[in-house]
Amino acid sequence: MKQSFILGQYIPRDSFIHRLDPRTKIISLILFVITMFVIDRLFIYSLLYGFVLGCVLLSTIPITYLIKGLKPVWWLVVITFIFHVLFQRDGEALFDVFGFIIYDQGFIQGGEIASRLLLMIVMATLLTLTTPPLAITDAMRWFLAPLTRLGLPINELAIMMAISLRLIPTMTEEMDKISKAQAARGLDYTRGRLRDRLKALLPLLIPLFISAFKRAEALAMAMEARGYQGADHRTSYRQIAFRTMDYIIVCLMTTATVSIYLMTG
Amino acid sequence: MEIVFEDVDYIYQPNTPLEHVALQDLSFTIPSQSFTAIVGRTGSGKSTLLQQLNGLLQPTSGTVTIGNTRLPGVKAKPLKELRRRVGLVFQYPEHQLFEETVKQELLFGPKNFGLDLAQLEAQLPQVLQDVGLDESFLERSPFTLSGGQMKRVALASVLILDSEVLVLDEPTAGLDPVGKKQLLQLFRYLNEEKGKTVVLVTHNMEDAMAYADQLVVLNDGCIDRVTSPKHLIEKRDQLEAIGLAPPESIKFVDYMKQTLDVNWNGHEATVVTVSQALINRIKAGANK
Repeated sequence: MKQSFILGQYIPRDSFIHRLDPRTKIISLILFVITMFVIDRLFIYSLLYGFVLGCVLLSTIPITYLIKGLKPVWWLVVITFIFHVLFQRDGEALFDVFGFIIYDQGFIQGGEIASRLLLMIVMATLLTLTTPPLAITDAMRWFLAPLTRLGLPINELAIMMAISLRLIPTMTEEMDKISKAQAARGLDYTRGRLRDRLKALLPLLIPLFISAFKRAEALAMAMEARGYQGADHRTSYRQIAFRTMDYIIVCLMTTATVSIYLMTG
Repeated sequence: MEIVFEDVDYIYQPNTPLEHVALQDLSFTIPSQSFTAIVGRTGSGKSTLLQQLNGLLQPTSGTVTIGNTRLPGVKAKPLKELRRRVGLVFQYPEHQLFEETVKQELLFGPKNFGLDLAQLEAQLPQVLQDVGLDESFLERSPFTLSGGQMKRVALASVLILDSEVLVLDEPTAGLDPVGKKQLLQLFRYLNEEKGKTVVLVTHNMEDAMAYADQLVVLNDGCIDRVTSPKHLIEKRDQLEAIGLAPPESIKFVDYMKQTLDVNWNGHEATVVTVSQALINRIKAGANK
C-alpha cells in the first residue's frame, strides 16, 4: 500500500532537474500546463510527450518506477479515453459497437484529454520527486510574498504547508502500522461486500484521527516551548537562489510557450 | 507451533530507488513452546522479522514455515487462519484502540475470526485480570484510560484469541517497573503453564536474559547468533559491538571480579543471587 503511489514523494538524486531552483520548476510546470491547454494540434502533443520524456530522463528517475508508481492514474487515463470514445458525438461515424456509434472525434478528443491528464500528472509528480517538500514551500512563500501587503499571513500559511507536507509520510506510516495491527486482529478490509468494507475502515480511521490530533497538540506545544511566536521576521537556514541555468530555463520555457501559442493561435 | 526460517530475505520497496534491504539470509528455528527473545539494536530488523511470523509481510526470497503454513504465497483464507493461530502485539498497541467500550475492543478480534462470542464473553474478566485490570473496566471507554491501562487492554484484545504463538514487540515499553514485571511474568506463565510459544522482541537484555530460553541476536538485518542466555553471557564482551549491553547485574559481577578479585562463576547472575553471594561472603568474613 505504502509504495503503490508516488505523487508527493521525493527521491534525493543529484541530477540536472534536482539542481534547478524550485521556482524555476514551478514556473516551468505552470507554463507547460498553459501550453497544453491552448494547443489543439496532435503533432504538438508529440512534442510535449518528447519534452516530458526528456525531463524524466534528465531527472535520472527510472521510468519503470514512474510507470509503476502512477498505476491508479493509468486507470483514470484509460477510463477517460474510453468514455470519450464511447460518448463523443462529433465527426464522422466510424463503426458500431453494441449500439454505440463510434466517431473519429471520439478518438481524437479522448486522446487529447487523456494526454493532458497524463502529462500533467507526470510533470507534477516529477516536480515533487525532484524537489524536497521544504524547497517547494520556500518557493510558494516567494511567489506569494507580494500578498503580505494585502494583509495575508503568507508566512503562517507557508509554515502550515510545510508542516502538512512533513506529516504526510508520518501519517502514511502511522496508517500502515494501524492497518497491520488491525489485520493481526483479523480485520480484512480488502474483501467482502462494499458495506462491510466501508465498515472495516472505521478501525483504521478512528485511531488515525486520534493520533493525528495528539500529534498536532504535541507539536504545537513543542513549538511554543521553543519560543515560536508566529512566522514574521524569520530568516531561513536554506536560501533558495536563482542561478544562470535557472534564468536560461525560464527564458526558454517562456519563449517556447509564447511561440507555440502564436503558431496555433 | 514450530517456526522455521530458511534463507529469508526481506526487501522494502524492491526495484525502486527507495529499495531497502531489511533482512538478509536469515535461517533459524523457533522451537514449539519455547520462549524466544529476538534482540538487536534499533534498526536491526526486529520489527520486520516479527511481521513475517503472521504473514503481514512475506519474505522477498526464502521461506518461513509456521506450523503447516509456508510463506510466501499463502492465500487470503489460510492467511487469516494463520493470524488467528499467531497472535501479534505491536509496539505501542494502545494506538490501535477504537471501540466504544473495552468489552467491544476485546471482542473485536474474536468477531473478525468468527469465534464463539457468547462463550468468550464469560472469559473476559479472567483475561482482564491476567493483564492486571478488573471487570469494572469492561464498560468503560478505552479513551478514558491511562496510557498503561490502554496498553493492557490492547494486549488483552490479542490474548483473548488464545493463539498458539504469541509474538510481542517491546510489550513493556513505557510501563512502570511493577507493571512491567507483572506482564513478563504473565508471558512466562503462558509459556510454561499454557504451552504457548512466546516470541519476545526487545532491545532490553535484562528481560531477554531473565525470561527467554533462546536468544536470536540480530545485527544489521543478519543473524549474529542464535544462542542461550548462558552462552551469550560468556560472550558478553562481543555485545557492545552490536549495540547491546549486558544486564546491570552482570556488569556488577564483572566489576567486583576486577576490583575485589572475587572469583565468580555463576552464570545466572540476577540481583538476588548476586546479593546473596555477597551476603554470604560478608558473613563468612565476619566469622573469621
